[in-house]
Amino acid sequence: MLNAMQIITGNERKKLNQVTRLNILRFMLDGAPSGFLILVLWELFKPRDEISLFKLMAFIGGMLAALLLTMVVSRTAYSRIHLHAYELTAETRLRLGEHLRRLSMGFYKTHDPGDVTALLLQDMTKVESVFSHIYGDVVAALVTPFVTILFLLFIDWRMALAVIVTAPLAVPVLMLSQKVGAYFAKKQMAARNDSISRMLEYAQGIQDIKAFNLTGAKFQRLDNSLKALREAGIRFEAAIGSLVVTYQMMLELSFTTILLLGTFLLAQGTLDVPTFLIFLVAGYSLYRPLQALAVFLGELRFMSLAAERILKVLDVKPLPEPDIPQAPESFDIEFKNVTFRYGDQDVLQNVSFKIPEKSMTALVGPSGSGKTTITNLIARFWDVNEGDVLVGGQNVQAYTAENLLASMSAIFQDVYLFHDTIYNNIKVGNQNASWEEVIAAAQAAQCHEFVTKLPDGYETVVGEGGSTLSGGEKQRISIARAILKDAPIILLDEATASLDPENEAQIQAAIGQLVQSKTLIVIAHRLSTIANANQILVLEKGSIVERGTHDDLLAADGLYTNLWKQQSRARGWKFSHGRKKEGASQIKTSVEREK
Amino acid sequence: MKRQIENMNETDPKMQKTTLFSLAKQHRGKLSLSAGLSVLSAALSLIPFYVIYLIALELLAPPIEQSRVWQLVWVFTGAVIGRFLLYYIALVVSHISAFSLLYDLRISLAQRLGELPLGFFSQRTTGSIKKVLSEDVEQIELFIAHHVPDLAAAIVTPIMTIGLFFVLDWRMALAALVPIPIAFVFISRMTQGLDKVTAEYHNSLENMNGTIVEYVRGMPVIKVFNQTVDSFTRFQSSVYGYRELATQITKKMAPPYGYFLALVGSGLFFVLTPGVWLYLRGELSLPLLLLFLILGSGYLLPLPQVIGFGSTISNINEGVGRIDKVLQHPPIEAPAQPRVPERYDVEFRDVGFAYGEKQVLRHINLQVAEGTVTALVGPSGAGKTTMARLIPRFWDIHEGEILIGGINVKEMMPETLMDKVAFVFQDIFMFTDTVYENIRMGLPDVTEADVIAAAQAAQAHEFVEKLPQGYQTVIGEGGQTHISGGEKQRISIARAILKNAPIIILDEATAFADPENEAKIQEAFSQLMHDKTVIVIAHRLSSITDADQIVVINEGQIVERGQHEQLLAKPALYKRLWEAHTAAQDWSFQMEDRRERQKHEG
Repeated sequence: MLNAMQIITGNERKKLNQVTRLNILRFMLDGAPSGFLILVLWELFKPRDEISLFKLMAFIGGMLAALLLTMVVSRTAYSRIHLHAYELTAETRLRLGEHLRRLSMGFYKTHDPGDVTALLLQDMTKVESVFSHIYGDVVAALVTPFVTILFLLFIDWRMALAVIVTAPLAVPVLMLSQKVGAYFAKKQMAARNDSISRMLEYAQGIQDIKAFNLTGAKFQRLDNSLKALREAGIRFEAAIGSLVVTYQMMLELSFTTILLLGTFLLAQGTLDVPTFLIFLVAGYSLYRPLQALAVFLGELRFMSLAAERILKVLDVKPLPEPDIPQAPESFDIEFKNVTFRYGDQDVLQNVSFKIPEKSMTALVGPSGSGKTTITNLIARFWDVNEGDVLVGGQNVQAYTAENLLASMSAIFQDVYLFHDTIYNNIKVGNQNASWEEVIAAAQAAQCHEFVTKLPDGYETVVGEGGSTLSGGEKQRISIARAILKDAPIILLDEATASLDPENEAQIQAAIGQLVQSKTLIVIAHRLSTIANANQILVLEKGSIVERGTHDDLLAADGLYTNLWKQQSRARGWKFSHGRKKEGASQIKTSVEREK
Repeated sequence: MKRQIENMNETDPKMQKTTLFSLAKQHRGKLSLSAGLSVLSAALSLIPFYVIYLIALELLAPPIEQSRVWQLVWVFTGAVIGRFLLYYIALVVSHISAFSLLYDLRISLAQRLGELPLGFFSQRTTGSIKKVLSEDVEQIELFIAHHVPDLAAAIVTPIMTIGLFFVLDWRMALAALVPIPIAFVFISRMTQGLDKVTAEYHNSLENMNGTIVEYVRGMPVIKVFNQTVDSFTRFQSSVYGYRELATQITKKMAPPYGYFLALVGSGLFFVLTPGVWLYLRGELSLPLLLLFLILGSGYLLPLPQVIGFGSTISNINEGVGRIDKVLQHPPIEAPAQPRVPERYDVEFRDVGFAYGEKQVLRHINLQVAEGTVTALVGPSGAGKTTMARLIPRFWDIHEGEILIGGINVKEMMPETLMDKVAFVFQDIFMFTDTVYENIRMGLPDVTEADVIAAAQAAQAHEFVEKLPQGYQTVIGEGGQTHISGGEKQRISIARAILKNAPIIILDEATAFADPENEAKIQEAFSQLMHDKTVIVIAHRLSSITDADQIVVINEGQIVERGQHEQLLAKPALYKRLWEAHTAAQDWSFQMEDRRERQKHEG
C-alpha cells in the first residue's frame, strides 16, 4: 500500500491526510451504535423500577442522531475519497506521461509499447482502486476494533485482554500468510507468464500450427503450460487460504476465554452480570473487521504489483541534458572510437568514421552487424559506452534532445500514423507549415495522387497506427513528413524503398526528392542503389571491416566484393523448375545491365 | 464506483449470464458442492450468537452451572472450527473447479481456433485473440472461485437471520425488515438518470484509452518531430476529460451510496427501538432481546456484496461475449464423405469472393497443371494474395469452386488439405523451442537425418551448426538466441521441405534481402519447389520470367495470362509493370553533384 500511496500522492500528502481524517471519523461513527447499545443495556440491566425511560429515550435518540450523522459523514467521506482518487490518479497519469515524454528513444526501442500503455491505463486504475476502495477498507478494519477495544479496556481491562488473548498467536499466522502468499504468488505469476507467452504464440503461429495439423491439445506445449497454470493456481489458493482461515479462526476462539474468564470472575464476585453481558455482545462484534483485514491485505498485495511496475518506470532516468542548450550549426558527423554495449553484448566496437556535410554515406553488412545502431547513436537514442559521437563538431550530449532531433529526419520501415486526418499526419513534420506547403510535400513524396483518390482526400481520417493504408502508402506519408521537416541530416533505411515492390518506383522518386543537398546516411540492402555513395562503410560484427567508394571496394576484392557478386547472382534468379533453357541468357543480360 | 457504473451500461445481462452458466455446466457438481458448503458454514456462523443467548439465560438465572458453561464453550469452539473448515473446503473446491474450467475453456478455445478458417485471424490482431484466451478467460476464474461461495453466503445469511427472527418474534422480524426497502431506494436513486452520463463516461474513457495508446505508440514519431509538448497537451486534456466525467458520476452516485453504506452499518437501530419497547412492556425476555441485538448489528452487512455481485457479472460479461463469439464462430465444415486427391493439379472454376461487402475476386477461371510454376502478378490490392489463400481454405468461397486433382477442396478433410498444401509466407513465425522442433513441427515418423537433410536443402544447416547448441538451440521470442529474418525464412522453408507437400504456395519475400541471405533463400526456394505444383505471388517480376504461366490480376479479375515473352509482346498491364520494375531495379541514390558527374561520364 505504501508504494501505491507514494506514487499517487507525490507532494500532496495533505489532501490525503484530510481524507484519512474524514474516513477515521466515519468509521468511529460506525462504532457509535454499539456504544449506545452498551449504554442502553446498562440501563436495562437495572432492576425494573430503576429503569429511566427518559434515559432510554435519550440513548435511542442519540443512536438515531448518530445514524443521521453517519449518513452525512459517510456521504462526504465516500464522495471525497473517490473525488480525490480520481484527481490524484489524473495528476499521477500526467506525471508519468510527462516522465515518459522525457525518456530517451532507447526506452521505446526496448520496451513493448503494450506494456507501457498498460502502465498508464490498467496499472494506474489498480493504484486508483487501492486508494478509493482498499485504503478505506483497511482503515475501517483497524479503526473500528481499536475504538471498541479502548472502550472495553476502560470498562474491565481483564475481560478486554481476554477478547484479544489469541492475537499474539493469530497475528504471526497472518504475517506468515502474507509471506507464503508472496511465495506462491510468484510461482503462479511465473506459470501465468509462461502460459500467456504460449497463448500468444498459439495465436501468432496459428497459420503454421494449422498447416502442420497441431491444433488444440495436440499442441503439447500449450497444453502443458495450461495444466501447470491450473496446478499453480489451486496450490496458491489452497496454501494461502489455509493460513488465512487459521488466522481468522484463532482470533475468534479468544471468545472462549471470555466465557470461561467471565464465569470465573463472576463466581469470584469481581465481575457483574451486566458487564459480562456487554463483553459478550461488544466483544464478539470485534472479530469481523479484524478477520476481514486478511482479505484486504491479500488484495493490497495484488494491487501493489501494479504500483511496483509504475515505480520501476518512474525510476528510469532520462538521458542527461546539457545545462546550456545549444543547437548544431553545421551538420557533419563523426564517430570517435565508439563502443556501444547492449547488456553485456558488444554491439559496436571501437568504430571511427567521418561524414562530411551534404555527402552520402552507406552502411552495408549482414543483419546484426550494427548498421541500425550507428543511426540510433547519431540521433542519441542511447548514450555510447566509450568514445564520442559528434554532430557539427560537438558531442551530441552537448545538445538538448529537442535541438539534436530537430536537425535530422529518420525514415525507417515502421511508420506510425496517428488516428487523425492525412493532412494532419503529414503536418506532423512541421506544425507551422501552410496548406500549400503540406500539399507540395505530399506531391514531392508521391502521395498526392493516392490521397486525392480517397473519399475525403486530405481530410480522410486514418485508423490508429495507419491501419487503413497500405505499407507503401504509409511509407510515402512518412517521406512527406520528412520533406516538410526539411532537416539537414537524413537517416534512411533503404529497405523502405523496396518494401512495396509495386510502388517501388514511386517511393524511390519520393526519396530522390528528399535527399537533395542533405547529409545522408543510408542503411543499404540492395548494393546497386548505393553505388554512387561518397563513402561506403562495410560492417561485420560491430566493426568497420572495409571503407571506401564502390569502385575502391570492388578493387579491394574483400567482403563487399563478395556481397556484390552474390547479389548480382541473386538478381538473376528465377522461380522455375529449370526446364527452360532461355533462363541462363536472361541472367546474363540482367547482370550486364547492372554494370 | 467504476464497477457499478459499468454495470449500468450493460443492456442484456440475463442472456450473458446464461452463457456463462452453461460454460460452467461441466463443473456444476463441484460448484453446487462449494455453494452448499458455504451455506452450511454461514449457518454455523449463527451458532455463536445462539451460544451467547444461552449463556445470557444462565447468567440471568443464577446459580451458574460450570459444566453448562464448559458445554457451551465446546459448542462454540466446534461451531467456529466447523464454520471455517467448511468455508475453506468450499473455497478450495470452488478454486479447483474454477481453474479446471479455465483449463477446459482455454483448450476448447484453442481447439476451436484451430478449426476456424484462417480468414478469421486475418481480420483480428493476434493481440485481441490472445486477450480472449488469456484475460477474458481469467476474469471468469475470479468470478467463480470467489463469488460462488461468497455470494451463496451473502444471500443466505440475511435470509436465515430474518427467518430466525420470525421464529422467535414476528414483530421484531418485521422491524428488522424496515431498512431493506430504504436501502433499495438509495440504490435506485444512485442509478436513476445515469444513462446519459454513463454513455459520456464511457466515451471519455475510450477517448483517454485511445489517446494514451497513441501517446505511447507514437512517442518515437512525436519525439523525432519535436512535438512532445503538443501531444502532451492532447494527452492531458483526455486525462482531464476522463477525470471530469468520473467526478460528475461520483457526485451523482456517491451520496446515495454513502447513505446506503451508513444504513447497512446501522441495522442495530431498527432492532433496538422496538426491542426495548417490547422488553419494557414485558413481552420480550432480556436474553432474547440480547440475541436480537447481537444478530441485528450484522445482518445487513452482506448487502453491499450482493449489490457488488451484479457489477462483477457485467464486468465479465463482455469477456464472456468475446469468448462466446469465438466458440460460436462456425468452424470449417468437414465433409461427410471425405475424399483424398490423387493428382495435384489446381483449378479455379468461376470463383468469386467477397470480404463482407467488398467484392475481391470475380469470375476467376484458372488451371494450374501438376508440377508447373504459376506466377500471380498485379498491382497491390488486385487480389493475388486472396487467390492464393483460398486454395488452403483460409476462407470458404460462395461462388464457383476450387479443385485439387479434380476434387473440390470442400470435399476433403481439412487435415488432408493441409497435408497436401505447404505455404511459405512473408510473416514467418518461430516458436519458442529448439531449431530442431521448429523444423519438425510435430510431424510424426521423422528422423533426425530427415530434419538435417531438410535444413541442408533449405541452406539452413550451416548457420544452425554454428548456433551455441546447434539444432538444440532455443530460438523464438522467449529464446536466448536471436536469428535474423533471412535465417528465419530459411527455417520456414526447411519446415515446408520436410513436410513434402505436393502443392506449394509462395509469397516471394523481399524484406529480408541482405545480399548474402537473399542468394541462400533463393537456393532454398529452388530445393523446395523441385517437382511440385507451385503457385507464387511475385513481387519482383524478374524472378518469374521463366514461370510456365504468368497470370496478371487487376481489380479482382484475370486480365492477362501467358508466358513472359507473350505478355511482353502486348502493350498492356504486364508490359507496364515490367517497365516500371526494370526502372526501379536500376535506381540508385543520387546526390546532385553526382548526377552532374555521371552526365559527364555518360
